[in-house]
Amino acid sequence: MHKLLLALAMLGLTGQAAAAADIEPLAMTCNACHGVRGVSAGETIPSIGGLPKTYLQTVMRQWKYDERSSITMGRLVKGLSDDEINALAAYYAKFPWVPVPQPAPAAKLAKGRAVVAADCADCHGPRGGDPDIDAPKINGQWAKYMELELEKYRDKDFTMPHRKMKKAVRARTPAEAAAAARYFAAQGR
Amino acid sequence: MQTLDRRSFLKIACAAAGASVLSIPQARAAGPKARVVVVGGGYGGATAARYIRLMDPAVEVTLIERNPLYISCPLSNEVVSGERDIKTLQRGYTGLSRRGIKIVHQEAVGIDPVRKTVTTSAGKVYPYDALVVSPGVDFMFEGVEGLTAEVSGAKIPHAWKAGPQTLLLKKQLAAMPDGGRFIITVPKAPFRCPPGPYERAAQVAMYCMHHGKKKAKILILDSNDTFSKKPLFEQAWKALYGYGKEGMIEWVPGSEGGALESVEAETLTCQTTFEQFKGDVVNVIPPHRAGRIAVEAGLANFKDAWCQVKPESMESTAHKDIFVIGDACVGGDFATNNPFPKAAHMANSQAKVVAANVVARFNGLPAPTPVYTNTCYSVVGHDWGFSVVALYRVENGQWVYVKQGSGISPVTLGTKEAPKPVPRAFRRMEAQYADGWLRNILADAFS
Amino acid sequence: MLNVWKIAIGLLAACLWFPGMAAATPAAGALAANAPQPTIENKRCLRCHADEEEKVHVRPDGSRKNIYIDHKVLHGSVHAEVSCVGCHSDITKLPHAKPLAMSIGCTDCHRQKLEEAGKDPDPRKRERLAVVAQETQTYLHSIHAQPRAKDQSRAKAACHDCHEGHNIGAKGSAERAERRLKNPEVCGRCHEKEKKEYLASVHGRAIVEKQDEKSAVCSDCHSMHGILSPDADPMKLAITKNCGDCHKEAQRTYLESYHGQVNRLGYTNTAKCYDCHSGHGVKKTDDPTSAIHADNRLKNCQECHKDANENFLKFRPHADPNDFEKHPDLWLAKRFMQVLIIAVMAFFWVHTLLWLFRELSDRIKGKGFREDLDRPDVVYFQRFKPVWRWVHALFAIATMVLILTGTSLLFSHTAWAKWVVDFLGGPQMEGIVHRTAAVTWLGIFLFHLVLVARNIWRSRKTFEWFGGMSMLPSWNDLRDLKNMFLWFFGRAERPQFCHWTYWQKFDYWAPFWGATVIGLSGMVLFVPEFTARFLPGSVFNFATLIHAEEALLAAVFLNTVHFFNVHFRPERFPMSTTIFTGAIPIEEFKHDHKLEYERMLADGTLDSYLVKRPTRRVDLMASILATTLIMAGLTLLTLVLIGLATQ
Repeated sequence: MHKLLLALAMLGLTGQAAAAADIEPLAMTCNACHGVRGVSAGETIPSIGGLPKTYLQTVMRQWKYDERSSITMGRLVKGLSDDEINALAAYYAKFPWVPVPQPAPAAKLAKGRAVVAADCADCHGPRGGDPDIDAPKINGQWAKYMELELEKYRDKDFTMPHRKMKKAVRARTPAEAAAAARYFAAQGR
Repeated sequence: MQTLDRRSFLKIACAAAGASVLSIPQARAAGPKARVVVVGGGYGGATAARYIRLMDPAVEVTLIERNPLYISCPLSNEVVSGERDIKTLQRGYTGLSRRGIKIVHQEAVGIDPVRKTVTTSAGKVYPYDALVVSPGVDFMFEGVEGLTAEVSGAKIPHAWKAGPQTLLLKKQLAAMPDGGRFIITVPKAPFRCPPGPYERAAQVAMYCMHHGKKKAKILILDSNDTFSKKPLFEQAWKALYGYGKEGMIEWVPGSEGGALESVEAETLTCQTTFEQFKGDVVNVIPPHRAGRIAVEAGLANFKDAWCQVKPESMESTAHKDIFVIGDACVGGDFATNNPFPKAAHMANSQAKVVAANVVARFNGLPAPTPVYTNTCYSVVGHDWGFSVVALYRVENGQWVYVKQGSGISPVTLGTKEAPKPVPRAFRRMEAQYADGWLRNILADAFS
Repeated sequence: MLNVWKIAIGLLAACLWFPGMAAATPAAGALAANAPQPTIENKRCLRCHADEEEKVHVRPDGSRKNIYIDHKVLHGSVHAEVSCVGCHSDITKLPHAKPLAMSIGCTDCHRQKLEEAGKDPDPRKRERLAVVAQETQTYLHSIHAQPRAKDQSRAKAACHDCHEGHNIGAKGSAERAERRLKNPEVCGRCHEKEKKEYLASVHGRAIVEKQDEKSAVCSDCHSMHGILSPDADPMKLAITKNCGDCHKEAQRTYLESYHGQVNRLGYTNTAKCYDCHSGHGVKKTDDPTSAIHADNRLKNCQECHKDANENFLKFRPHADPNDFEKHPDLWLAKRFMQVLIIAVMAFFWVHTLLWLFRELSDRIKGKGFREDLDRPDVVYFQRFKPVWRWVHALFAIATMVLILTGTSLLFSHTAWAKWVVDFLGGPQMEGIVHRTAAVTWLGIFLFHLVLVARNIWRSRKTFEWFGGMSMLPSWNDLRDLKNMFLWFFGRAERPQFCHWTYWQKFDYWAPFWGATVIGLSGMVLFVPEFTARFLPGSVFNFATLIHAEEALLAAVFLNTVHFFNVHFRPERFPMSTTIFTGAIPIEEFKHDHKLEYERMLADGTLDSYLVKRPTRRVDLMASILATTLIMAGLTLLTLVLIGLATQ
């Protein structure tokens, strides 16, 4: 099998390309909630196109193996193979990240900027667009979605990974966390 | 073999892509690569039309839809309770027409599967290479004695197609006195949106709780003995509104006399197999079947009501090159009671399978293996929602319900021996996700 | 299974969805490639690496890795302000999943920093960076910088194998001191056996048990960055030298011993500190497991001196003749030799200076003996038979060879000594040359004794033991000496001498004594193992001392006083070739040996001793030989004086 893959790679036909073609029918079903090319139109559902592959893959695996609480997705991904998860992650990661900047009042943005600079920028980048490998891009991500995620990190009823993220969120008031979310949501490319 | 397959596939893919890009101006002069007619511009039809154009712009797509606006049935129960403005459920067809889809606001009145044409109410004839039929459902008023289309439209609304009846029901509810009885009757399955009646009961109850009608009673007269997401509904009803004889919501299953036989419009009385129930508002959901056009075209070959399709392609088992999708179709695994759910999300999934299939066909490529998903949210309170998801695959032409990828929201957490209640935040978030889902699935069909 | 999705998505990209997006993507990619690498601030790294709650990272393969960096420690490091990714340059994105690369470019960075520091106004900073850059360069030539046998891509020990990259204290800081105590631990990660030995040693125990930072750690002996294989001479020498950084007295006395002298010449064939004291496991003498414990010492000696016996144990390897407390016998011997040297030299140098003064002042006044160079003597007196001339010549040459080869050991600290030994082919060759010359020298000495005995025997009936022809000192000599001094001061006429003047007798008896003393001590040292069969090891201490002191006396005396008496006093200057031709000009004979001349004239034996002036050729040959020997002697004198002055 490895030899075959090697041969394919030498011909310029990587296994990944073939896998991407196979994953298309499954990926299409995701569009219903996450939009074509992973650009969501609903503010409680995240855009996923252009997020780092590792991030997407990690989150899906965490759902699948019950390492991360989910409301809806966890039930679905349990029916997917690890290969499908990887291929889906690769599929959505290759799209460009399309921020949907959501305007917010200047006062709220200023408050959010302060929180972001102090607690978020190190891992997500100052505007959310230059994150660490294991963190998602969140510039122009839906604010409402982010607030719900932040609540999951805060609320101990939810099993969430990433101790640092939990610690950071719990050190802030919900209002401050929401302001940070609004700030990131207001950012464009 | 695998190597060869992939290689030859890529060769074809590249050739086809090249040809279609290069041949666009030429194609316009010489006529389209293929013509697709879509009958019905709901979730199924609109999504199918859109995805065909997305996948191959050289295919001509004509969408025949009688209404200028589409109103989403999903979440329309929130309109009844006043939680949602009906405008948030409406979408027009300009998005699709911008994509080059011909929108024909006429009623399709005839399908000739031999000549492969569709005739409209205006007498226009549209030839097709592939026809997508997505007519939704028609109500069989005759299935309930005393019920006619007129009665339904004026007195005993079904509100099972979002639109004027939804608003009528909302008005009736508002006018209902405290201590009044709101009767919802549920037809024998299959019917569209299986959890819909029970969500409606909850939405109505919520309205009553917050609008000075705490003594109101919502009575569900069900022709069936069980229903979708039953434990979740019962849990929510109990927690939010009271459930049972003493509670605000009461459910009467078919086996206990819930099956409706007749209604009397004057007195708003429902006669079931055992009893009579008088209501202050009566919401009778009549039995349904596939949309008329499908029936007339001879596509409704399943119990004379529904159109059976092949799960691997959604192509009708009655006629070649005709694909029936959405609530009108049936397929899947009837034996284990896991057929296609009649849900918007399912129609969306089916539409994409059809789109992929016809585009493959026009480009001389083998058909892809489909995957279907379904997600169905029920919002039973302003901060209480839950869902069912389902994953279906087709393996060797057989419909497979993937159990591990499917299921309802948890009723309890923890273990079976030591169950723990599901935190309210879970329920609240799911109610919020329902809204996100609605906006996305509308966008996936109409933008 | 083939499918259509690929083409569908291809077309999708080309269509209306995001017009221009497909075209924009590669351009954006190209831009990103040209953009400068984003730098990662240290505080971002420390978010994980200074996290008290999660010091151990569990890798995907289940292995656990301590990733904690104490930020207080880092703060105290000289690298506190250096960007993490400056060294860990393979990290461009966080979190970095894989373990870090092993090479982090210390040497390049430090070279660069030094170049940058060229403009820095703070001279201390420049100096410090120069030291660091020098050290990193030194490291590159060390054995640690060479590739590993099993993994050629890695150095035997890279910087960070020894230095904790995050805890490099500034010079003089507490971190540095702490680091010093950890040194054995650090080296011991690889050198486990050596560490075990070391920890049991006095050095190791002082470090571990007493936290005594003054005790020796690995780098004190092996050096820090320039470490070479201990099998290589430079490292052996360096280690031996480094012992002396702490053990100054021991090193001084060691260097005065034969072992040390050879070592100081740059050779390693003699015992070095660690040969006797054992390298890593050095312990006190009273420790039964110590290599220098009385019970183990002989074994120690036998490592080199295979036939060493019990007597070797009496040898005092670090004996200091200046230490009366510990070595009163040696002290006495040394004092005796010193008194002897000072007395002899003081007396004769005064004698020489006064003589020079007298002759010069006479000369200025136009008085005194002067060879008439316009009418040189044609008649000569046959003073020395060929056998004595040969004896003298060979003896002179052998003596010079002995001085050269002997003092090059004695003055092993001088550059000339190293040159000489190197020229000879090392201390072993030097030893052979020295012994060969010694055998020749002693042979001549013994031969001369036989000759003297025979001569005396032959003329036993007429030989006047204390007469003018006898070499034995007599009262007459004392009188002559007194008169000579009177003459020096212009109080009397120059005394008249017979066959041997008193200074000639001294010139004879001094080497006679010297040959005895040097010869005996030299024989003791000739084959130590053999000597030790009969004599206790302490004779080596005495022999070394006396041999050297007496040799020095001889070297200085011969090349100053003897040269003056024979060649350099104005009457003889520049030289006398009599000892080589055997003939002395008759006028000169008359002047210096007037009594003999007159006696021979009286008894009519003079004629039989008169010879013709040596041929021009013989004269020239003799002059060349004399010149050569004088020059050689003066050269040796210079070398010895250099050695003495720089001791």
